[in-house]
Amino acid sequence: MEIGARKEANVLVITVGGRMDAVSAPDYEKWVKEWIGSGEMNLLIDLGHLDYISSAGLRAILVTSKDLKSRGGRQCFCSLQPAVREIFELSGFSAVMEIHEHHDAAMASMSDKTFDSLQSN
Amino acid sequence: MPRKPSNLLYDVNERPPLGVILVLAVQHLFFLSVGLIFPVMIIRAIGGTTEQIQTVVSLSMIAAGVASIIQSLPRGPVGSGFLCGQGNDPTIVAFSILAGKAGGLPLIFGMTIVSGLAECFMSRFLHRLRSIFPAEVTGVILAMVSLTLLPLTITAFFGAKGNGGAIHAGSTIVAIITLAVMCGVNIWGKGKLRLYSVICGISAGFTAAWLIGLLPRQDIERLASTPLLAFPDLSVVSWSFSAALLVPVLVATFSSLLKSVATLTMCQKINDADWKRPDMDNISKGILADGLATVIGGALGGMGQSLYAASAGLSLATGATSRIIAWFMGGVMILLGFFPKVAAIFSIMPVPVMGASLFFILCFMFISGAQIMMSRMIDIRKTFIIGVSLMFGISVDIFPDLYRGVHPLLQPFFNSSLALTTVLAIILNLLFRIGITNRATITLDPASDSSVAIANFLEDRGGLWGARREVIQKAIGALTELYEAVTVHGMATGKLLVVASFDELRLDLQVTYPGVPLEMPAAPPSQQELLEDERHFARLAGFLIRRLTDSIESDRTGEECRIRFHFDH
Repeated sequence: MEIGARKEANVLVITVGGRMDAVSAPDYEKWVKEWIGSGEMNLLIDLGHLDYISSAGLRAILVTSKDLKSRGGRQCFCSLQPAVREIFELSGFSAVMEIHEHHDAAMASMSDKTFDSLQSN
Repeated sequence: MPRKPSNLLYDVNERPPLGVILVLAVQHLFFLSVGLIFPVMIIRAIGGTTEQIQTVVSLSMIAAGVASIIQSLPRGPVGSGFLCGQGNDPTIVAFSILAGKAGGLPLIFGMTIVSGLAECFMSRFLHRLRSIFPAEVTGVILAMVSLTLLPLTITAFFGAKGNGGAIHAGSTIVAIITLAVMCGVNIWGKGKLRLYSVICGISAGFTAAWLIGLLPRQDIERLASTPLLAFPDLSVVSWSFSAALLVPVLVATFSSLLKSVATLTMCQKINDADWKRPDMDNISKGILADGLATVIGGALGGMGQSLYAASAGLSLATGATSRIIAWFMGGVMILLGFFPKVAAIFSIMPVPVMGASLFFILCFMFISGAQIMMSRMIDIRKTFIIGVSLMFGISVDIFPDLYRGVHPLLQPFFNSSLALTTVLAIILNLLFRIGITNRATITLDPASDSSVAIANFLEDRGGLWGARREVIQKAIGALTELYEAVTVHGMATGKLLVVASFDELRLDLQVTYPGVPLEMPAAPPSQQELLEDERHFARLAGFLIRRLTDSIESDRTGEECRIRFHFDH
């Protein structure tokens, strides 16, 4: 699995590629938790290059999602390949995670929510 | 019932409006009219008269009309049910000239009947020959059918006289205009305009040819002098037979049959968004219709008939495969047999317009062939089957003199690029099956990371077996889930033994391991359950396995757990 991150405005864009299974999922969990711990509250996780995800990968996503939520942060996913999208749908994750077709739509959604959040504060 | 592909405006079972049907039927006639040249070639080669040519052309059109209708019949033992025009068979031109020189028209008609009967006979055994026609072989044949037509198409496109002729500027302009209109309407045409892309291009081509002066005056005069209504002169029709011609007739018939198998495979793929493999029962019925059409052709005093892949390509290009179009097309062809003036309109189509139209359709035929080839995982065996057969086949067209010295008995296979490609693809497919077992095993150790080994094992075997990629991906997903669940959650106390077995219709994986069985619930655990207890992720894995497989069985004997995954193929 390859994992990388870059900052776009106030959103941390995390790119994940390859396979996310029982071996690689702990790496994902470790890195994302570190970024959350360093104060990143808006995560856009781009799965465009992720070929395969197993239930162990779903676990890592759920655990980091819970961590982020408990700190008041938000995340969304984009660019899922068909095989990964199928797993998200079968497992019910697509119903509880925010998923967008592509990066721009996800960024627009994150920007809107950040704006709403600032207004409500 | 097959699922309608999104690119079709009217599928095989739908009924377009009457006006649309008529225009589409006429578009198909333009392509089938290419075959009118073959009886002219044959009868000129044997020194026949113009009247004989007129009669054989008319009777061939009637036979083609009847054949197209029979081919489209949706029920009963004869006919594939698809829209695919039947026309004069180019494959039998060589033996027809041979027969004509030996015994005149009666021997041509008699041996055409023999060819048709042989094809009918062969059609009865096709369903048992599925292993001879895997997707890569039918795909190669279809791609080669399009490449075989390329020399004729390119020279017509540029208005060149034969292979060595110079490019004719006027013809090239007409061809480019024709092709540009067809492509433009097909790509950017709104709504149902795509249905008429070919007729739009042909009309533009006719207009350009007329403006440039490429519609010869004698063609227009010939059209004017052709009688409007004429009953074919049946006095030329009689039959004779010759045992000496049996071998060349059977070779030509088999070659024609293989081409028709590829064309019918293309029809199946065009009409089914979920196409997986050639349906040999349907192909048998289509080939029986093809054979009967040739019998009818010979019996009527016309030429042998075969399916025109260009017609199937046209239906893909226009997005209309309704079989009702075939009924109208057949009806119009039968009528044209009695109205030679109308039939002559098709025969005066300017050569570059014909070249551009064929070029347009060849693109669809070639891509269909490539898609059929690549529908299976390509391993080293298939790489050689496709590569060797295509390249040696193409060499016949590039170096026609190279194979002159081949033994006369083998000569029929080296006479055309299509014949050589077909024979090589079939032989190599059978040869390379040696050493492929349809069972394979792998042992997975819980103490090491085996997920990459699972993917490599199934991808390698999938390539060897010619399995569909999406089935192998599902199998990798299911097996990885099982492996991870029973190892991560400590359910397996020893190694997992995986036995994979495959045939064209199914992929089965049997996994045995010592330990505790994995629960495979019908519904996934909730997000709350997953957050509360890690063990629910094993249930999630079990649920995903259940959904990724088409059926699943599990049992336990003592400490040994056994799970069988089944995937439809």
